[in-house]
Amino acid sequence: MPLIPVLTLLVATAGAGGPALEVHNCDFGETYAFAIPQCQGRIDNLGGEAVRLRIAPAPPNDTVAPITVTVPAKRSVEVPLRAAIGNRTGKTINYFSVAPESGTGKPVYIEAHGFAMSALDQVRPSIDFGVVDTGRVPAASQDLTLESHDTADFRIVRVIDKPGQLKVSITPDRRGIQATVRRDADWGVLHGIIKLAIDTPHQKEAWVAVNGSIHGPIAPEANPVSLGMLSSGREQMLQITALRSGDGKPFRVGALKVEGIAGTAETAACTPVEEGCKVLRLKISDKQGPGMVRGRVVVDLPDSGKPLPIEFQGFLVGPEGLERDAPDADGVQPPAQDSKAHEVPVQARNASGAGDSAPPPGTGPLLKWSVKDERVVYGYQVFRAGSTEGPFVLLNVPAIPAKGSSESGSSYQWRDTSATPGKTYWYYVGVVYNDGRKEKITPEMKALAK
Amino acid sequence: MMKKICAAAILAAFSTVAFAQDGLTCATPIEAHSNSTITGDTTAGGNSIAQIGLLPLSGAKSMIYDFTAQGLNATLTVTGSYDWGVFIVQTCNVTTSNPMTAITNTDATNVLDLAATATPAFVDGNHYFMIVSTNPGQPTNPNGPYQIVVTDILPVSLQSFEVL
Repeated sequence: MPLIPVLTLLVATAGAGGPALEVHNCDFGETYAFAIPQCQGRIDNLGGEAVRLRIAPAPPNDTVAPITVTVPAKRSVEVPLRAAIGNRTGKTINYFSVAPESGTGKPVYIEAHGFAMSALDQVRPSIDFGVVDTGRVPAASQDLTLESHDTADFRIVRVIDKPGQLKVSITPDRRGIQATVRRDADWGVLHGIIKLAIDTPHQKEAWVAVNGSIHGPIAPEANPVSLGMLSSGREQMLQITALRSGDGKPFRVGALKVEGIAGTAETAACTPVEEGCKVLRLKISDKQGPGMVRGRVVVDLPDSGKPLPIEFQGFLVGPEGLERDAPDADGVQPPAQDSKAHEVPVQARNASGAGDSAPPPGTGPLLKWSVKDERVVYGYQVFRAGSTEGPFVLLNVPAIPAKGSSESGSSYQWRDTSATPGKTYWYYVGVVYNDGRKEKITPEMKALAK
Repeated sequence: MMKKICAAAILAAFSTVAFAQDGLTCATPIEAHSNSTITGDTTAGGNSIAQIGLLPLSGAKSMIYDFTAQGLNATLTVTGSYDWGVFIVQTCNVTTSNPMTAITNTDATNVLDLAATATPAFVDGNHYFMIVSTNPGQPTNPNGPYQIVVTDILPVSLQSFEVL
């Protein structure tokens, strides 16, 4: 159910000569990462002819298919907007392009707004392996334990996907993973995601970002390599890294293949000369145009049996210059600054916004708290347990919306109407920030339900 | 609590052309501030690397914001309708430095912790630019509307708590 049923009006015309449309955004309220909530947007056709429109997620995704609708002249239609949240948290917008099915005219955009929670306490879990030598014993391994105050008894169900260089196993308590770099892993930059299926009621997936640099007997001094800022339009030779053998003995280098940029590569002896050391040089062609360059040099190592890719990125700058002082030639307009508020604070059930106001009705334990500096707060969550050891369970979905005040502070009241009279409970309050981060902000406090 | 990024009127787009901080050029950035939500559309932005400066984004349009760091400790939560990229740079002048930190639509998360990821670190009182443009990879959709939520990392301060 939408928490904030506020519509934002956007008057738009779908390209020169296209139909005159008014699009009304919608709000899907509070949801969780990887969910696909839905809300009803509206499109008004201000023109005198019916128009058939194609409404598609922007950018396109594999989760939500485009839909087509016909809007009669001078009429409106409601359109279901299914917002694929993916691995996003915090305040979020899903955009949908609206354009004539004929393909004429530029699209306008209709928006589905909302807030994406993470069921996990770690909103952005990650593992950094650093530099890994696959010959090292024992193999490089990292453990990660996931926590959730939302769902204390959640479990990791399975590993959906992982980088090919890793072995990933779920710990016996199914609350964590152990990621190990395979001995036969491809060498090079490790940059990927471990995708896990989890069994919380609201969130069924969790992603763990993984980074590192893997090498074998020959180790690069750096990988990836930043080239920095360079000039385009002239040939230039860059020494991008040094390669060293682990045992300090000489090694052979086969073919060098440059990918992602117009250029060639070569190796040379290190300076001063050092046994078992070669420098890798990249020659960038004068044909390489300005812009970002991102590529790699694949170094064939005949004695090692597999190649070592060295990745690089940098910026090639054209000679014509730097800052511009005038709008571009096609008559750009300032962007539409969103001056309309998307949100209207509403009271969650059981909650009362002001500390001095009447408490919420009912007979259960009454929680009262006050805070300062809450402008970055999205809302509050109340947790309860039957003993001080827990487990604590989240009681309120959606969250109690923050009032967003600063120096003056804000007060809240929330009553646990689900408490059983005569039973003792422990409570605490957690905060959810605008970017989805979570934090416990109160101690645990005991109360007897009357 | 004090602002972490210097405040300014986000409604500058309604100013006159002569004084407009419209975000179209390095000379006319829109000032960004903490605890705010920024929305815009790069379709209306300025063009390409040769004219904007540091951006490695031939052909893609960009919007330019600026701020002065003061105990900067904030995150950016980014959503967009296109293959977006957001870059923090020390200057709009292309001859100076790489982005200090960046986030794109193909990253594993849409949240960028500014202080934790910036190289070099932010310096109090220094002026920085935030450039909203496209993903430096091969973007299929290089322009479109976006939203950036700027959130301080500083925790809320609890004043009292009781259960009755």
